[in-house]
Amino acid sequence: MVLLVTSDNKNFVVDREVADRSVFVKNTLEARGLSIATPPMLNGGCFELTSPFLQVLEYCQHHRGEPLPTTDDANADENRKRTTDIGEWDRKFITVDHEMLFEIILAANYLDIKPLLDVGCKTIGNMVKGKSPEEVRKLFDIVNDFTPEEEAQIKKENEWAEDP
Amino acid sequence: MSLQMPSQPPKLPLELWEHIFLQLVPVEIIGLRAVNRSFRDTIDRSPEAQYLIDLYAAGLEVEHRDPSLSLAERRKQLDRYRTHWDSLQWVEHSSIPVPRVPGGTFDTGGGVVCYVSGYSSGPPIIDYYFVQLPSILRGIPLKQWTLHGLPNHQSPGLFPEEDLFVICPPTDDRRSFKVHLLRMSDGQPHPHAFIPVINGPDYEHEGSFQEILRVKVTSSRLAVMALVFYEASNSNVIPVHFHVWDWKTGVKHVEIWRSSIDVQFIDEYRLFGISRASGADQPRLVTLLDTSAPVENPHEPREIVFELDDGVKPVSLLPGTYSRGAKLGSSFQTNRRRHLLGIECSSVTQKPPWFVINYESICAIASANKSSSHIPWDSWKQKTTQGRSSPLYVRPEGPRVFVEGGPGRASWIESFDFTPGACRSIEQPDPSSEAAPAHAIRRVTMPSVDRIWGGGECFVSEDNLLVSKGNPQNVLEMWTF
Repeated sequence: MVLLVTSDNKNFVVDREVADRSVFVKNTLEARGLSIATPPMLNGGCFELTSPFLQVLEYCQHHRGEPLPTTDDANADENRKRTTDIGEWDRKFITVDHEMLFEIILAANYLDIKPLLDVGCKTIGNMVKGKSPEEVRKLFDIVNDFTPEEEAQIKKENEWAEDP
Repeated sequence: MSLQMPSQPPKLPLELWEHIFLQLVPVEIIGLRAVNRSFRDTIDRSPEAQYLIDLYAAGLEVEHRDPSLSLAERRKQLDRYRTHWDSLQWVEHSSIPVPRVPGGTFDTGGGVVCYVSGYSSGPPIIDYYFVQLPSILRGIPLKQWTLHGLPNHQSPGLFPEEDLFVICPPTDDRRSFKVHLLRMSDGQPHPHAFIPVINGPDYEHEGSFQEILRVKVTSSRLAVMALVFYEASNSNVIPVHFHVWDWKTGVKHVEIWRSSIDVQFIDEYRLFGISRASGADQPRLVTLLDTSAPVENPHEPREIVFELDDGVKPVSLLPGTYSRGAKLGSSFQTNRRRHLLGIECSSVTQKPPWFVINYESICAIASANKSSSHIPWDSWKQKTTQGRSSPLYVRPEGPRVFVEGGPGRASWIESFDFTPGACRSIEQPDPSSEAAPAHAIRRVTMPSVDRIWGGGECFVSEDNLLVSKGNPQNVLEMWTF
């Protein structure tokens, strides 16, 4: 068993097999020979981890025992499936609001859980699929910071690839 | 350094947004450049995203990347590939021995050439010889194999990605045809096919079945064009019965009687094109059929019609020109890029019947615009070649059109560059300009030109140009880079 402590000082006792889904935790434990992982801190500690961490734990528990991606899988991106290819359980798991989705992605990135990171990124990829720039801005509340001239320039540059 | 987006709520670091972008297909990545500065700069500075975009611009599918290579190595290969296509310089020549067979060669779909061992009037059972062309870009080796003792069909369909081989021999009573869905590798029934053999309609009450003109296959669609001589037909009736099935589910998506004279796939997204001319002095039409979803009535598929009547010399498709063996004067080829459509229009004059004596080609690229029902001719990107017999080939995955010309022999090839940047220039050509712009027709004289015979049978596949009719004829001549 491993004790994991989040940045807001919540303690979680989990099976080593579950904790090892996180390459960060796995490496930390192996390097230090410890059974306690120090608080994951994100972006200077401004990140409230408990809530997404519960989600991440659920993911790790579900996928415990599955083979971990190795560094040899660096080329896995080359064979990546289309973004719609997300497993049924993962798809239900990742059906959360945007805020939580971002936080899960951040946590997966920090904790180095590549399969979860991919699921999160694919989910966002699916969201932006087929959407206009304006729709993408609206979806994620992004401000259009282009000047009219820049916008015209981009439109010209992108013209060749536009869907007819 | 702040990793935060300038616009607050999507509080993912840009490196994670980059990871998200790389989940998308290139055209979607390009579209996201227009969201805000951060997105644009992230995409423009990402070597992987730029590689995907350049691959797309070169007309290549993402799936064709060799997974064993690093990004730098793949980038190097892609650059080399583009350089050679731009210069039309194939530097390596090889001859591939093939069996000396009387039949023709068919298709290079996915880089596989198929030979048949007999004529259509020959024995009911024949052999099929296959040559898989080697590809440097995709790391595919040369491979040759034979399928023995299959029903005789002279124009089979190939889809190597799914190991699919389709032959449509006539039934024993010659009133219909059967569609056999086989594995290309061993000739066994294809495991993903809905049924191994699809029975065609009985034409006894309609006319007489002649032959299958063309079979085309994608990962999910199968198109078969049957030539039928209808009884009580007038001379303007085009005697083709056109079918489109989903070969995995057995659902029929399209069935058109007496209409189509040619068909090509526009892309993997299940659009089909049909060119048709309803008779002399009628405008020539190109119809795109959206077969992406089943329709209630396969006789009324969703159609988008382009008229090719403006700015084109009147086309004299005389009654009957569409008969067997005649040059139809209208055909087109496409690549798999969704928005590219190559069309060859020809003005033909007949004297005597079935003999084309004046042949002129216009190559055009149009967008297969799903939402528009009409594209004026002047908005098409077009190039014209005049006064010679000019078969037209579109590189299967690429944006370029090749015309092979020469009196009697294929002594040169020409490349019409329809890459998007070049297209913009082609739209506004300056006829007074002597200097050839960068996008102009490139013509190269083929090396070892004496070896090329026939003025036809020039195939272009991924990273090689193949002229199949070599001298001697039991050799495939192949140029690659």
